[in-house]
Formats: sequence, structure tokens, C-alpha cells
Amino acid sequence: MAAGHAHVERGPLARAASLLPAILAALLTAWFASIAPTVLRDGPVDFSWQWVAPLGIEAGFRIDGLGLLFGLLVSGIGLAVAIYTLGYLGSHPDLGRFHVAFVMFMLSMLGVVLADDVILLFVFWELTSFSSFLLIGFEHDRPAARRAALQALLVTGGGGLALFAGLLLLGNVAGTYSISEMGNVAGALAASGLALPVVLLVGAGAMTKSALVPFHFWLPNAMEAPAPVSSYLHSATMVKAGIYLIARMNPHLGGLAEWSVLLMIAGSATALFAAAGALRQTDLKRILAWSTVSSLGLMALLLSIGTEASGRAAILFLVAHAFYKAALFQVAGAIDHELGARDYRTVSGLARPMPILAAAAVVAAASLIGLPPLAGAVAKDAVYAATFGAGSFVMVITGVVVVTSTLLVVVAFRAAFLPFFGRSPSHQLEHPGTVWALNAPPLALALSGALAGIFATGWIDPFISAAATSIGGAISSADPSPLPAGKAWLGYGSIVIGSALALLLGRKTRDARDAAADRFWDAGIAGTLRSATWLTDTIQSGYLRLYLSIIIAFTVVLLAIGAGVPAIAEGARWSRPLLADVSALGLAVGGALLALFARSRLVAVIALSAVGVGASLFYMLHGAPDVAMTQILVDILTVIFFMLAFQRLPQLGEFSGRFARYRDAVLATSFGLIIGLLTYFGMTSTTRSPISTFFAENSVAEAHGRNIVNVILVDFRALDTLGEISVLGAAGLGVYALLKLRRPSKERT
Amino acid sequence: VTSLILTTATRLLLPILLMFSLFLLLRGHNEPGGGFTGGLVAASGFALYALARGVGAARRLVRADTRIITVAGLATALTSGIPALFTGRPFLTGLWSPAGFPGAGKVGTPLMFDVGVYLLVIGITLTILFTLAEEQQWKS
Repeated sequence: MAAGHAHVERGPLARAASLLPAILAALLTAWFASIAPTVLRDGPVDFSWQWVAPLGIEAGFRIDGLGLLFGLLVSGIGLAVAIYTLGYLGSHPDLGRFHVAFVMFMLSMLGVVLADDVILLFVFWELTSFSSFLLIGFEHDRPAARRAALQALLVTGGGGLALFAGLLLLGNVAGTYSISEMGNVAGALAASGLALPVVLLVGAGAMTKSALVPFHFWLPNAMEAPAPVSSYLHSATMVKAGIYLIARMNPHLGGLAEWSVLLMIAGSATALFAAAGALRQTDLKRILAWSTVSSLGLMALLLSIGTEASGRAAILFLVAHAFYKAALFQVAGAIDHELGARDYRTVSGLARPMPILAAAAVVAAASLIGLPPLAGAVAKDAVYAATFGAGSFVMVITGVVVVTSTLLVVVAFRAAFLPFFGRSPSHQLEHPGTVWALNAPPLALALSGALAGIFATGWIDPFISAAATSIGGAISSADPSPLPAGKAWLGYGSIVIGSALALLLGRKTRDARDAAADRFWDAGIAGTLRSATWLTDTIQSGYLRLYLSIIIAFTVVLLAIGAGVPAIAEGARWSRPLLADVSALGLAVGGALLALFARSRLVAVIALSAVGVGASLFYMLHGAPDVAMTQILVDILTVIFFMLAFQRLPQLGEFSGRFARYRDAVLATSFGLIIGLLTYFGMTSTTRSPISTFFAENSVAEAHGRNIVNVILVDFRALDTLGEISVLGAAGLGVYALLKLRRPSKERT
Repeated sequence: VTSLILTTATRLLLPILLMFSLFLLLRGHNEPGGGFTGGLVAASGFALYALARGVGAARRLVRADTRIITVAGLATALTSGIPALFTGRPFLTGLWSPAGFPGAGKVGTPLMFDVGVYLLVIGITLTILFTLAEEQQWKS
């Protein structure tokens, strides 16, 4: 599929520019390395800027042990991927577009792992979803890529919204949005009754991002993305953001039983289901994707234990996984790039033409399987040490880990060994394995995994320990007991059984691309669109009079039963009306009745303006000459407008049936009545002090004006006025558009 | 169909109405008046002119595109809120000249806001009026 695009030759400047992402990643890696001694020796380093001060939100970043480790992973693996991209997409015409999204992702991912403010974390979290969308849909001329991109965006974006709600609740209960100041809020959450909502909402965010069951399906589909994206976002970094969040929240939510149970169930289900799912795939990248989902499930499961040992095991496993899985994805991508094929059943014997790639694959797969002294083996020891300290669930959790590990051994055989060994080369290659940018990065990543394993107790250890310290242990456990013989047997036993299973199965697979969750997804999307269509057809009739009726009816109901009229009716006074008021009222009511029963439209229009005159009389009588003047002017212009539109209107007659007229009469009467009552009660209420006193007192002092109406309009409530005149402007342009757009169709008649 | 009386009266009425509208606009902060009322009076003046001489003549008299006047009004009102930002106060806070000007009294950003309202009301009213009237002419 990578062979499908047109190849372009780049000039020297463009070639230099295409190195920029790699240079940025290298600089970031160097910066994190340079700051590492300070963080490891003196504790977290903070950077913060004022952001939304009134809401207590600040752009606070904090580099602690966990942040440092993730920062190094994101920038370091980013460097390897940036170089690999030059080999994989070097001649792609849209390399620039790829690089923009790539850099955007790298920076937002760093934002996620360094943010010390939950709101800031959420912003970066959504940015990673968004850049992931752009990268999955990179080859946007393919429908499958577009579908996968949209699916990933909707799943992770939807989870992001849930996360946002959860973080807001969390911040409210904790009294701060700063993660480092939050402390353990488990007790406060339980007391507030918000424990379950917060756990479910934050959990939904983590589970969608890290593709835990039942949100796992987007990740295998995301394999539509180019291999560098799969290697970087969908194995090494972005999908670990959910795991990062779980780890980050452990000191704050760790003591909640709901939290542990959710993670344990989701983690176990994901680990087992996805490991089995990986064996039903034939596409190299999809095999790896399913195994990634399974590994993410294991990490969540480990964190659910909540002990010192489990946090340490999760971190070790995460680091080992990042290295070997990123390397394996790059190997698969390189095979695809050179051969244009990625079905593990047909690809074989590539060790001779592609020796470097084969070496990278073997080392990475050995780490996956857990052969000492590679990082994977160190991680696996720590994992068993953690599961044996898991208290009452020791059997279940250990069992899940053993079964999953066994199945993942088969994955290692299929994704890394079978393509390179076995029968003679399945494909003829023109320039086998000569692109160094496709070979060096996976080898470097695989060897980094080896080094990390060898020096696990040496200089690597402070990094792991610092990260484990950041995760903390809510339920500080008993000893991370020295590895008894039983655990070693479990580890090696699973390798032996897994290898036997792999050799037994060979290249036999039942291809099952169409997962149930995916069908469910399609049905959900189709259902959403259908219901949206139905809703639109139902409520969007296209008749203005119907829209107005609905709006008016709702207003009446809300004012009558809601917090409108009844709320202020209490304390209203009745008073004797003045004679002048009665005559003004008589003018207005008479005008209204005349307009209603007029036989000619001209009479109706003039009668309506009598209503306006009656109203302005009221304003004059009660000391609002401004409003009176405006009312009269509006009435004059209304009559002029009417005159202009007159000839266009149809002959006055009966346009609606008897029922419609009664319905409209009821609607109009009740609307007038309710507004009248609202005004009356509002004006005479004795329970609340009127706001006009404030305006009267402050008009001259604060706003240098004696005309209160005008001061309110242009100063006290200027923002409201601005909104109103914007609406007015839009309405005027709307009238213009309606009249002008009508013309061409009329001209034909 | 033009009426001689209307045409003659308009010649006198339009300047008076326009001046009156400016008068309303400027005194609005202290006495009855303001941008909205002033804008309506000015628009009525032009409406009268359009009725007497036809829309084409009225459009020529106004010169500027009425839609541009609308947008200019909105932009003026919007702009009047910006100076407050530079003094660290919220958007649209009124800023006033320390001393009064002869004839106008103290001058401040609320006046500019009101000028925006004035222009917008004229622009809208005339847009609707002219469009409707042209529709009419086209038909007859």
C-alpha cells in the first residue's frame, strides 16, 4: 500500500526541511536527558504560567519521575520514528503534511505527560486524539483509512469528553485542578457520593485511549495508518496515555475499590480477549495491534493491584513494550514497504535479503517473549513479583498473566520469526534491504530494549524507581518477595508452551477481520444518522409559523410552571389604575381587536399601529420618553415596510381551517396573558428589590449620564446591546438574502 | 408616481430629520434620545426620500452600500470596547475624557458605541427598505 503513491524528488531545501522533526526530537531527547539528573536527585521540576486565573486553572507543567520517563520515551522513540519516516515516506508527495501532524502529536503527547493541571492535561489529551485522526487518515483517498480515522477520533474524543467531566468533578471535590496538590481524594470522593461517577468517567477516558475492552476495536483498525504512525502512536506512546493517566491517578484514586475493580475487570478482559484475537489475524500489523491491545490490558491489570511492586512492574513492562513493539511495527512496515505484502502466511525467508531487519526482529521478539537478559524478561520477573503480592486476587491475576503471556509468544513467532525463516524467499526483491532509514531505527530500538534489560539494575534503575515513586502505592503492600522457584517456572513454562503452540499452529489461521465490536460500531453510526435524519424531518418543517408556534408554546409552559410567573407572584400588589392608563389601554386593546377582525389589510395595519401608539402612551405616562419615541418610530417604519410589501401579499382571506384558528387563538391569548402577568408581578413585587435602583444611583457617578435608559444600553449592559445589534445585523442581512434569492426564480414566470 | 407636495416637503424635511437624528444621538446620554432612536429618525428621513423620489435616487443620496453601513456600525460598536482592554479593565468598560468639551460635555467610548448602534440601525432599516422597494419596482 505504501507503493501506491506517486514518488517525488525533492530539492535540497525540502530535503533539509524534512529533517526538522528528527532534529526537534533529538533536541527534546537531549533536553530531557540533561534535566534527568536534577529530577532524579532533587525531585520534580515545575514550570508554570498564569492561564485562566479566575477559574484557578494554570498552565502548570511538572517533570517528576513518571513525567521524565515518559518524556524520554516520547522524544527518544520519536527520534527513531522520525528517521524511519524518511525511509518509509521519503518520496511521498505529502511528506510535509505528515510532518506537521507528527510534530503536533509529539508536542501534545509531551504536554499530556508533563501537565500538572487536569484542564491542561485534557487539552493536550484531545490534541493527541486530533493529531492521531490526521495521521490515521493520512492516505485520505482510501475509504478504509477515512473510516478508521473517524472511528479513532470518535472513540477517543468521546472518551476525552467523559474524562473532562470526570476531571472537573475530581477538581471540584479536591478543591484544586493541580495534580500535585490534589492529594488522595478517595475519602472525599466516597463522602461526596461521587466516587462511582468519577471512576467511570475518568476510567472511560483511559479505556478509550488505551483501547481497553469494550473500546478496543479502533486500535486494530488504526493500522490503516502508515507504519511510522502505528509504531509511534499506536504502540509506543499515544495508546499508553490511558495507562499513563491510570498511573497518574493512582495516588489520588488508588484507594477506591471501584477504581481497582474497574481496572481489574477491564484489564483482564482486554488482556485475554485481545491475545486470543491476535491469533485470528493474518496481517502482520493487525497481529501486532491486537497484541498491543492485550499488553495494554496487562498494564491496566497490574496498576489495578495498586502496590509499590505493581507500579514498578507496570513501568518496567511499559518501557520494555514500547521498545520491542515499536521495533516490531517498524519491521512489519519495512516488509510492507519492500514487498507490498504483510500477510504472515505468505511472507517467508527474508532473513537472507534483509539481515539487519531480521536481527532487529529477533531481538525485539525475544524481549517480547521474555528471554533474559532483555528488558522483557526483567519486566516479566517484576510482573510475577507484583501479581504474587496481589492479595485476594492472586490466583486470578496471575492466571490471566500466564495465559496472556503464553498466547503472546505465538504472536512473537508469527510477527517476527516466520517472515524471516522457513521456506526460501517468498518474494523477489529488487534492492533488498538497502534503505538504511528503514533498517537502523528498528535495530536501534530493539538494541535499546536489550541495553535496558542488561542495565536494569544499574543506571536504568533510578529512572524506574523515580517513576514508580510518582505512581506511589495507595495500599502499601507487603514485601516484593524474592522470586521463588514457582514464579520462574511460570515464566519459563509459558515460554515453552507458547513456543510449542506456535510451532504446532504454524501458519494456520482463521481470518476474522470483521470483529463483532466493529459491526456494532457500524450499526451505531448508521442508527445515529438515521435518527438524526428522522429528527430533522420531524422538527424542521420549513414553516416559520410552525417554528414560532413551538417557541411560543414552550415559553408559555416554561413561564407558567417553571421559575417564571409563580416565583415572583408572591408579594405582588394590586393597585387602582389611573384614568390615563385606562384610556391608553383602551386604545391598544381596541386597535388589537380591530386588527383581528379587519376585512382589509390596510385597516389591519393601521389598527396595529394604534396598538403601538397605545403602548407608547404608557411609556410617556410612566417616565420613559426614550422608549415611547422608539416605539413610535418603529411603528412608523413598520407601516412603511408594510406599504412596500403590500402588493406582493395575497388577497386577505381565510388561510387556515377552524381548528388552526382556535389553536392559534389559544396560543396567542395565553402568551399575552402570561407575559402580562409576568410584567405586572415583576413591577409590583415587594419581595425583591428592583434593579433599577442600582442604575438610578450609579448612572451619573459611574457612567457620566443622566439618561438611565441610554446608560444601561451603552454602558452597564453594553455587552447585551452588542449581542442584540449583532442579531439585528444578521436579521437585516437575512431579509436581504431572502428577497434577493427569490428573484431569479420569479423572473422565469 | 411622484407627488409634488411630497417631493417639495422632503427637500426640507430630510435635512431637518438628519440634523434631529444627530441631535438625538449626541444628547442621548443625558436626555431622551440615543443611537437607536437617532438611527430610526435618520432612516425615516431616507425612507421619506425614497417614497418621494424613488429608491434609485435614495440609494444615490446615501452613496454607501447600506450593508456596508450595517457592518461598519457593528465594527464601530465592537471597536469601542477594545480601549478598555489596554487599561486592564474588562471589555466594553466605559472610558471617559477627563475634561469636558465645549458643547458636547464629556466624551467617552460609550458615545462611540452609540455611534455604532446609530449606524447599524440606519444600515439595517435602509437595507430592508430599499430591498423591499426594489422588489416592488421590479414587479410593476
